[in-house]
Amino acid sequence: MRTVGSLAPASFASLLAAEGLGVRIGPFDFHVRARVSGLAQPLQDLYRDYPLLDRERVFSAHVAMRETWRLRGGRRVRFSVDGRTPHDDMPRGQALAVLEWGLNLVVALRFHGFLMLHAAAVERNGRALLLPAAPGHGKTTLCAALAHRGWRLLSDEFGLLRPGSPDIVPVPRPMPLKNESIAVMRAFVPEARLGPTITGTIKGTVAHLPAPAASVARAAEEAPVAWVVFPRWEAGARLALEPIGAAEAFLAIASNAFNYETLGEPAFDTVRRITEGARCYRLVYADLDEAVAALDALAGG
Amino acid sequence: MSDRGRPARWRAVAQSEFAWANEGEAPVLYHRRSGRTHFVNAATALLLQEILLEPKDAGEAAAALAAAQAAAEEASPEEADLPGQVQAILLRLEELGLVERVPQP
Amino acid sequence: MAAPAARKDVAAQVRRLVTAALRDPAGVAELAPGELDLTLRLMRRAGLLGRLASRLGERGFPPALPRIAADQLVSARVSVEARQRAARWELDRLAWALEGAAVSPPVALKGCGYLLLGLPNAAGRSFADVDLLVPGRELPAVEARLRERGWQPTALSAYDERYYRRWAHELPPMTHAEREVEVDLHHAILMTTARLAPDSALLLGEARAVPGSRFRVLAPVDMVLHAMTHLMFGENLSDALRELVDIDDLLRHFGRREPGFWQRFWPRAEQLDLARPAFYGLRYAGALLGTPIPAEVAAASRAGAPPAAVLGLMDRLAPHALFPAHPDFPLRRSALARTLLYVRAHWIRMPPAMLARHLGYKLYARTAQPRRA
Repeated sequence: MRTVGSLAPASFASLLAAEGLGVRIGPFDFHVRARVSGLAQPLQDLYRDYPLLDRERVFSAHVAMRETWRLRGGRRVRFSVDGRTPHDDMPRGQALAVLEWGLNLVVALRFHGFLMLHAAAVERNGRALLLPAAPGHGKTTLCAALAHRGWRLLSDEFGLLRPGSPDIVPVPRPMPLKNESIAVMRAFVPEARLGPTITGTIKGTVAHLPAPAASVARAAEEAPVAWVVFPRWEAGARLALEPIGAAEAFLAIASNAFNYETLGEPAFDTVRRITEGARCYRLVYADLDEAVAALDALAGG
Repeated sequence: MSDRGRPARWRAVAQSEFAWANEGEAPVLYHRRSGRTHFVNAATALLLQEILLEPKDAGEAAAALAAAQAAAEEASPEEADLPGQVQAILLRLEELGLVERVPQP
Repeated sequence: MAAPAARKDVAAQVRRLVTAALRDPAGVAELAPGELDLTLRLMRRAGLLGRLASRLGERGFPPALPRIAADQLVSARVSVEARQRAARWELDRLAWALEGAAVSPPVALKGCGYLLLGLPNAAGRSFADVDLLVPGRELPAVEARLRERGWQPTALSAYDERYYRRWAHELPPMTHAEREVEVDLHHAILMTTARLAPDSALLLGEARAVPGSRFRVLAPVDMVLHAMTHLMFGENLSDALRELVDIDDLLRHFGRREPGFWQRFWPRAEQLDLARPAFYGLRYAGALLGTPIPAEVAAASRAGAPPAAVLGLMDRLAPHALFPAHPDFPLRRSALARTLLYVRAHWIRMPPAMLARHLGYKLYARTAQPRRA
C-alpha cells in the first residue's frame, strides 16, 4: 500500500488543500483536508509511514481545517468534522496541534463500537501493557520512552478494546510531548525527528514525536492486556510499583474510560475481564529510566 | 414511611437485573436496568443476593446480617444501631433502584 | 467523488440519498463506496444514523457492507441504546418519585410516549429529555415531589429562568443530581404567548393509560398532531427531518392500526387549533417521504393552508431546511432557509418585541458556549 511519505511534498500539499487525502490510522480511515499555510510539510513528516488511501471509500470521519481571520485575534484556524465546528477557532501557529487534538476529539466521540480508555498502551512479546492516566500524570512521556526501548507503541492516548475481547486495538499516532518532556525525550531518543515546537497552547509548549515506523506498519496486530499500570510522575519521588486490588483497578479503569456508561454491560464485562486476567499496579516515579526498567522487569526482562 | 404503623419492608429487585464482578470483600455490581455500576461491600452484596430475596424490614435485615457475620465468625465491631444503619442503606438502595419497597399485605 | 455540477444537483443528490436510505435501509449496502460514505454523513447530520443502524441491524448487517460503515452503524446503535436505557430508567425513577402522590398519571410526550408504547419509530431513536404533560394545577405538587426525591432545576441563567417561567409552557428543566437526563414538566404544548393555543384539558382528557406503567400517553391523533406542532414550531431546525420521519412513522402505524384514526384526524386538528401545523405536517410528510394520506383528509386539510404566497415560499424553503446540508457544500440558501424558519418559529412563540432581544441573547449564548456533540 502507498504511504503518505511516497508523495512528492508539492503533491501532498496541493492534494491536502484541494480534494483532501485519505489516511489509515489504526482501525480508522480518515479523510483530511486542510488549507493552512505551513501545515503540509510537518504533517507529511509526522504521517510519513501511514497508508495513503484513495477517496472512493467509506471514511470513519471527514475532518477539515482552514484559515480564518478576525479583526481582534488575527489569523486563526478552524477545525471541522463533517462541516461542524466543535470548538472555537485557534491561533494559526497552533494548527498542527489543533488538528491532532481534533482527531482525538473525533475518535473519543464517535466510535462506541469500542470501549475507549484514556490510556497509553504498548506491547512486548505479544502482550499489552495498559497505562491509564488522567492528563498531567506523564503517561505520554512514559509511553514515548517505552516505545523507544523495546516496546511497540499501540497508542499514547486511546486504549481501544472491542467488547468481549481482551485485545487492545492499536491506534498509533504522533505523540504530543509537552513542556519539559520535550527536552527529556530529545535526550532519551537523540535520533527522533520531532515536529515543530508549538508555543502558547492551552497545555503549554507542544512538540510531536512521530510514532515509530514499526508501530505503524504493525497497526493491525492486536494484543491482549497482561498488565495494567497507573502511572504518576512526581518530582523527586522514589520509585514505587505497587499491586492494587481488583475493585480499585476496576474503578480506576472505568473512570478513565471515555464511554464506559454508553456501552453498558459490554463495558462492565470488558473491564471485569481485564481485572481478572491482568496484573494491576500503581507506579510512582521521578526518573524515566528507572520507570522503564521497572516495567521491563514486570514484563520479564 | 411506615404503613399503618408497621415498619416499611424492602425486597431486592429481580436477580436477573444484576451482574457481579470481583465477588468477595469489594464486589462490583452492574445494574442492568439503570446501566449503573456500583462499588459495594460484602454486607450490601449479601443483602442483595440473599437476605432480601424475601421482603424484610430494617430490623429483620439487620438481624440476618448479624447472624451471617457471626456464622462466618467474622469479628464485627460493636454496632450500636445496626438496624438504623441498615435502614439508611435500604433507603439509599431504594433510591438507586436496587431494592423496592413492598406494600404491607 | 466528483463535485456536483450545480447547487441544484447538490440538493437533489442529498434528497435522493436520504429518502432512499429511509425507504430502503438495506439498499445502502448496494451503493458505491462514495455514495455510501455521503449517505452515512448525511444521516448522521440529520440525527438518523441510529435509526438506519437499528433497521439494518434487525437482520444483521448485510455482508456487503464495508467494515468502516458497519463500525459507524454499530457505534450509532450503541449510542442510541444508551440513551434509550437512560430514558427508560428516568421514567422508572420518576414513577418511583411520584409513588403515592395525589396527582393524575402524567402524560409522557414524544419520544418517551413512543417508547412506552413500543412504537416502530422508538427503535433507533435518540432520546434526549423526558417530556411530561401535567395539568397546570398539579405542577406545584409534581415539582415538589421531584425536588424531595433528588431532582434539581438545571442551572440556567437568570434570563432563561424568567423566560421559562413567564412565557414558556414548561418549568425550567429538572435533572436528578446523579443523572444527566433533563426532565421537562409541561402544562401546555405551546407557549402561553403563542398565537395558537391548543387546550391542554382536551389533550389530557383523551390521554390513554399504558398497561404496566404509571404514565399515560396522548391519544393517537393527538400524538401525531403534537409531533406536527413540534416540527413547525420547535427550536432546533436540525431536528426537523427527524421530526418529519417520526410523523411519517406514526401516520403509517396509526393509519393502519388505530380504528377511525383518519376520520378523527382533521376534526381534532381544528378542535385543538392546530390546523396550520397539521396542514404542513401532512403536506411535507406526503411530498418528501411519500406518506400515504387519504384523499379526503388531504382535501379537508386545505382549510388549514396559509395564503398562496406564503405557501409558495414555504414549499420552496422547506426542503432546504428539512434535509441536511451537504457536509462539503453547505449552500447559502439552506442557511437562509434555516434562519427564516427559525425566526418564524420564534415569531409564533413569542411577542415580536421580545423576539429580537431573545434572539440576540440566544445567539450570543450559543456562540459563547461549546455545544456537546
